[in-house]
Amino acid sequence: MALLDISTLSIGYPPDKKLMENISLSLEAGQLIGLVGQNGVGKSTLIRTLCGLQPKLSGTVNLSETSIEDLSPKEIAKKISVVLTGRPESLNLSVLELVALGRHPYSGWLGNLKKADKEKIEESISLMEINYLAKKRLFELSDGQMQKVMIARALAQETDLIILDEPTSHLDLKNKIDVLHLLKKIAKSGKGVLISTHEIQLSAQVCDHFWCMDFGKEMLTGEPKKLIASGYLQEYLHIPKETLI
Amino acid sequence: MIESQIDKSRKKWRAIFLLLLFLLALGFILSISIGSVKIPFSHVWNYFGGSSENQIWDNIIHNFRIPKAITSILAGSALAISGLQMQTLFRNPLAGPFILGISSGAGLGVALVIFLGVWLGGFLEMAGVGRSWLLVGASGLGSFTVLSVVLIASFRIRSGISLLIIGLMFGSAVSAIVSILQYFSQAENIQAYVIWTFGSLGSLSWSELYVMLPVILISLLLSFLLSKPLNALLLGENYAESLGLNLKQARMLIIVNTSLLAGTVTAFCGPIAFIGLAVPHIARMLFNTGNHLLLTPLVILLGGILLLFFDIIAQLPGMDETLPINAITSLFGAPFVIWLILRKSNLNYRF
Amino acid sequence: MKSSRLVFILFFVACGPIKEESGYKNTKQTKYAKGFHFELKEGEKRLVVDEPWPKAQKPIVYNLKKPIDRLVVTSTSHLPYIEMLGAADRVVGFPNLKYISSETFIKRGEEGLLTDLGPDGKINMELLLGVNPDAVIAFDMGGESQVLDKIEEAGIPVFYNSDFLEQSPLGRAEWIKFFGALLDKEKIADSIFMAIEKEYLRLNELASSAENKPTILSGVVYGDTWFLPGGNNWAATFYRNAGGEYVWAADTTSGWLELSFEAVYEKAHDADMWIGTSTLNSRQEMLSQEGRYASFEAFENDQVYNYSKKIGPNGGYDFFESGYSRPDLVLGDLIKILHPELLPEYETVYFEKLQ
Repeated sequence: MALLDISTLSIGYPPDKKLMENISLSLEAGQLIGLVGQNGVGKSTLIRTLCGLQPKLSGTVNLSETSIEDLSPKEIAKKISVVLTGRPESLNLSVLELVALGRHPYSGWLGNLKKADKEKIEESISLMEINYLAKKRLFELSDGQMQKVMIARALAQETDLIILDEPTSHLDLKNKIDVLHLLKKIAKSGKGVLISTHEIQLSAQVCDHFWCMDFGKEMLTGEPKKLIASGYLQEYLHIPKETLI
Repeated sequence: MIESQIDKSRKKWRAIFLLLLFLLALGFILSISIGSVKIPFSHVWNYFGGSSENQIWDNIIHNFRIPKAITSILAGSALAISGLQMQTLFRNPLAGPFILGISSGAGLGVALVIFLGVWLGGFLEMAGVGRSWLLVGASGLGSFTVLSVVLIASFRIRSGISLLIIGLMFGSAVSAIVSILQYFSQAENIQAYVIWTFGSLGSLSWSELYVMLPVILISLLLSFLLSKPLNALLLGENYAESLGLNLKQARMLIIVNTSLLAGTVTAFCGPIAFIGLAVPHIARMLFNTGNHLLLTPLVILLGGILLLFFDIIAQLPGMDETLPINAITSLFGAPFVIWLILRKSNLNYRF
Repeated sequence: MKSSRLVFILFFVACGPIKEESGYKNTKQTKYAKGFHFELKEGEKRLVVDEPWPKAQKPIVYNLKKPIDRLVVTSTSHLPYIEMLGAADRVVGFPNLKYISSETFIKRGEEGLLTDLGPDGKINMELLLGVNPDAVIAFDMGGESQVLDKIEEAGIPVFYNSDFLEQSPLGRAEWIKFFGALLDKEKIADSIFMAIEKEYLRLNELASSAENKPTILSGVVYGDTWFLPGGNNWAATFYRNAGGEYVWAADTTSGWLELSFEAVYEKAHDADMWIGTSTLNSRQEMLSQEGRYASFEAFENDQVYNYSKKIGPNGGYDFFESGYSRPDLVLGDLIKILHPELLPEYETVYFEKLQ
């Protein structure tokens, strides 16, 4: 069963700015997928459309075989969690409080945490190996730490599908590798993970598939290594073939 | 591990809330004991004990000091919490309860009644509507009109900042109308209007308090329920939506709630400055948290406490004269906020 | 705090008072007024306004050579003096005619003989120059100087009238001599004032024979502040002269007091009379503005009076227009209120009991 099933989807901004059309893709549990393409090609728009943050122009998006249109915002929040680019707007929260916000769709009117919620928070923090940060406040964190905390928050949201917009930008090499490996670990635990990225070399090593976008073309999909070897990927990215091996 | 941390902090918070409740009670008792007229504390004590030696003093306590103390608490809490909600909703540290033009709208209503309302006033008086209620009604109607326009805009506009700018523009335009009215008005009317803008906590009688009290209490309860959406908004509007928050609905509820709070207070007490803008910052700095589940009760308590104490200062204890409450809130409040910011531990205060 | 917080007193350097010349004899022709006097030298008369505006540093001296035929007046309270002197026809301009209560001047306005110089209450310079006045009679409570300086710059003499600084009712009424001098009607002014003075003193004498002295409360609350006359205020002097005891008689302020409600309540809750309730003209209006008024004994005993009996066609209180020039009538009214037995036949002019 596909966690995410897209068919004949068009994305963009009404009324006349269509970025891409006729997208048909699917994402299975356990998969880590890299969404690649040039700046401005519509990666973020696709991500925002998949999360329900932006209306689609046409086509269907199914989450675990239910159309996204039939789901309330709260039900979507139980199926997809996101990590967006940029820091959260308020930095006056502790790491623990931030991760706890992931329980938002599950908690009651007042947002009180039950025992199960606390266990899930603890589990997410452990999985991201950031126990030592739990009491820190967000403005004290480095970019790498922040990214892991934001991923922990997405984990605490307990969704089958996690979508991350450029999770490795602004990070040093070690943190990029750390984050990608943690994401791989999350995918292996049975979730579906979709990331948009410009780190072609690094993500090619961990991603099961690439979805590659280019202006006015059909989506290119396949295993990263095969796409690179065939040279299609370089063509889609408008770079010389030999820059990627 | 996490659970033990949460439990440990729970003890700390319990102590803080007990302290604040104590300060609120202390402020309430002081406010009732201190005023232009010297009433010995023993008499105040006896008043609550039910025995009475001096009818005049009893009257002063019952008809002036208790309503004023309750008004101060309600107004302080209401303005502070609506300031907090506006600051979070618009992610703007300079936002306050009046940022969307609530007080300008109320001011326009009051100005219309004062400057043009001779006929209207006479008409309503014949219908048995009192003058004080006329001002309350006009002010409330003014706030509500501004609020409606902002709400209609909020359904069309996704960006909080655009909404904020619309609110500001609307507020400015309304203020301009008030200026024009003022320009063409007689001196006594201008004075009446200016006195309204000074704010007043002591002019509420019990009958007015009976109307204000339930409205504010219900809105304060609603504020607790809004803590959760506000916390989600701390991450930004996109994250909040991805957490399942219905952004437009939450925004509407927050705007209605703050307008109800700020609009009611403004209707009854005039535009009370400073509290709404500063108390949320004071709470965040003193207690070092951005979590609305904690901030909401903190800000409600702190707002009530501060306005109580500011009002005690405005009474100039021992003197017959009083100062306008708006002068005191800013005069004593501003240095307090500056001091808080300059304290070492708050130099990296994040909003 | 004593003076109204709304009045910001600004100091402007007076432009061009006449230099001090020797040889003028101070002819103290005023008996009660402290704000002006006349000086004489070889038949030439000068008018000296000692304190043209509050806290003024120097007196202003006016030479009275040519009589004034076309006059602009800026305060409604100046109109009755001119009317009494029979010179209403010399007033050609006034800012905002809507403020006027006197029927004579309203009629002149309707006939086009009196020009509205500023429907917004401020003097419009172009309209002022259009009526070609010989002089402007102005008052400056602080802050109006800029406009007045401009008028002087335009070559129109400005006569500062500071009658509002007088503390005694007769002192204020005596300013009719100021107008008499300007309008060349000194003799009439003197005789009118003498008549008013005589009647006032007679009434004062009558009131002093009263045995009891009812206590008096005054003013109403605005916002959190109760505005009421200070113990040395013009109104307080009236209360004393009418045989009443103003609750704040011991106070030394000549302006206004701004007190908290509870301070007033404690001191005046059992006052016998409540005189002067501003714009509140009925008991019901008072209660609708502030229900706690009911707990004053004066209110309970139906002893609340306001100067609302005589309202001009435009809705203004005539008390504030003509009351200053007729202290005899005001005193008579107050005695009728405080000691009705002393003036059984008297009918009040300005004051009425609130219904």
